[in-house]
Amino acid sequence: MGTILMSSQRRPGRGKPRGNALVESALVISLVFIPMALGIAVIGLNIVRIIQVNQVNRDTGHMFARGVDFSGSTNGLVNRGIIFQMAPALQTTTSSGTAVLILSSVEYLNSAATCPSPCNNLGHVVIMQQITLGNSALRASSFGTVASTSMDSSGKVLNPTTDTTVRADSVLTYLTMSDGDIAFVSETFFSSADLARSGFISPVDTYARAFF
Amino acid sequence: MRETQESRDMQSQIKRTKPREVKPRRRGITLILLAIVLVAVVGMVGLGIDVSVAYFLKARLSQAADAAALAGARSLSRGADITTQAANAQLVATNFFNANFPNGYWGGATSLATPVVTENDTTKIRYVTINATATIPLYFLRALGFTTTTIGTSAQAARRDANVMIILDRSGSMSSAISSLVTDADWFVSQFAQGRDMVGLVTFGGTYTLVKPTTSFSPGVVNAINTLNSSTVGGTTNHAQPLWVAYQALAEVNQPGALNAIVFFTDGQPNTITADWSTKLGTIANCNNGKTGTVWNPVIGYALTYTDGSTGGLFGTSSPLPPYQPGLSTSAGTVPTAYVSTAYDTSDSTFNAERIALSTSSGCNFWSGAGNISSDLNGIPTSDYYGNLTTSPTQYKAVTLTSFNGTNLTAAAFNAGDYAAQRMRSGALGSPTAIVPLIDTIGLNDGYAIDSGYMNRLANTVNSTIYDSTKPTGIYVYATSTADLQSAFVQIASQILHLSQ
Repeated sequence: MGTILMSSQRRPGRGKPRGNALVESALVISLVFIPMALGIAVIGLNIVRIIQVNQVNRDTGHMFARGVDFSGSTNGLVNRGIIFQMAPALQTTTSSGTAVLILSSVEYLNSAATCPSPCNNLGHVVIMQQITLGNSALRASSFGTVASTSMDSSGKVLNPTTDTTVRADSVLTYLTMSDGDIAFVSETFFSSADLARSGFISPVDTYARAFF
Repeated sequence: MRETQESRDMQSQIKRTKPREVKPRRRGITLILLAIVLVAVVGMVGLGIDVSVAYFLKARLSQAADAAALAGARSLSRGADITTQAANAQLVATNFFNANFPNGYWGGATSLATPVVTENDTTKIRYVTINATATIPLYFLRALGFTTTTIGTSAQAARRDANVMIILDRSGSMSSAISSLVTDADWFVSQFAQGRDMVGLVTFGGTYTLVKPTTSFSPGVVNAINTLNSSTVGGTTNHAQPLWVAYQALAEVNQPGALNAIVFFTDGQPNTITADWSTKLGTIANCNNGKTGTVWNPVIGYALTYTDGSTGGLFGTSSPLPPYQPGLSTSAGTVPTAYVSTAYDTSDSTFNAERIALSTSSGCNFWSGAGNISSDLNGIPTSDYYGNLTTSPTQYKAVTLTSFNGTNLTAAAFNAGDYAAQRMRSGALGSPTAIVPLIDTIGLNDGYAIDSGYMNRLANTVNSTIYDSTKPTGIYVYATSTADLQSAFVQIASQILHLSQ
């Protein structure tokens, strides 16, 4: 009975259950739903970017393999501009921004026919042409960067059979090639630094690669 | 009573405390609601992520198939026969597919059907078709019993047969560069598909030799190229004639469905034209080939300008060029037999008759010395032997045809070559469908001047002063040295093979 009476003394605290629900809801929202929403947003943005970067990479690589000019010529510069107009979300121009596209054509020189004397690159995959679009400071090609002194203004390597700095043998890690095989490689990198929130979100940059 | 009062109090207390009995239920509602909402949210998010991943992998699979088809079509050029070429295409297509979508990519299991190679002889097109599927895992939907899903794609790339005429300069200025040219030209020929593509060859100095285009070009064309060396080069630079002869050869094949292309290589500027000079000899007594009625008999040969601006020539040079590989000049047929010096083709009875006729004409000053020709001729014909105008509204260089001298002869040679390219692109030959070739040009710097404006006009590049976007747009590659020649041929081959896809 005493207990009952004591309980009756807590009547003024009747609102407590409603307060509990409010607190619980606040906790759930702040600890579960907001992080989840943020996570979903980040994952969603990353998926969108992965799809965008892969699509741009595919289209550019395909055009490059088809012979579209992306060099520093008048037409080439126009074509470069078109690439980034296709994907404005990449926020990139032909020489700056948050993305970089690297186009390389490579050839496997494995005989005297493909690497006539004088030949220093027999048995190697060499870069025949390399063109970089966008912000080149963001990332280098996974297959090597051709020095500006080794190529002409259109990105063509001056001495592919003798210049040992243009080797790109790591291509063989991914692609089985025979003597004389030519491959067009497109690589696209997109920096997700804009999503970074110190201590909360460490976004993953997006990289896509395709062999045509 | 008291007990009754106490009892009432108790009952009253109990009544008042009744609402407290539902307290536990209120606490549970948040959890239950959270659980329900979480299930729904996770389900939706999971569906979104799984579908997005599937969409991404589908796009990636499509890209892999696309790349495989393209690489396969490109590889149709390799191999000595069509069966080998198809096998090469299948192998390369498979390699490229695996490079872009390897088995196990994002946990998926891929299945690539053997690439299919088909051909259409009417349209001169071959196709490489890719069909691929991938079974990919689902990460969230497996909670609903869906552990994997299968995505599929197909892609097709076409390769048009190419009929290519290679024109190589073997004039005297090429002596130091000829070995590089041979190596790089051999490589260029190897890029085309034996049995499907057609490749022919014209080499030229003041005159020309011809290997007609054929699908069995290896080793014939390669052997012909390999006969070029420092001792077999010589002569002047006659552009219009080899250009037109190459075009005639393509027109004779008459395959408008194929990619018809001419690759023109030179290390200098034209200084020679082949023409009928009879009307320009007529006023000089005894220096002619006689008349049939009132019309002068043809006097066909070439005249040239020396580097010092003086003129010379007509029917060979004062010191005949070394004998050329016998059998390369074609016999009489639709494509005219080369009108060349006797050092080139002793079987050319027509030419010999003219030469003999002239040689017995005591009044021809040039016969005693090539440089004397300027005193035999009183002008330059309005067209070369093949109808290429030496002056026209779209001419490249100003020329005065009534005066025979080195400046005018060089200008006429430029104009004839330039006009030949324009005529080809206008479809002058070919029946019932005109043959309109793509012309690519390579200029080599080996110490002699190259006229880039002229070379751009020949190729109809975007830099040409008479660029016509409705006609095939070629490319002009300037090789600064023999070291750049390979790159030049690679670029040309790349363009032709691209266009044929």
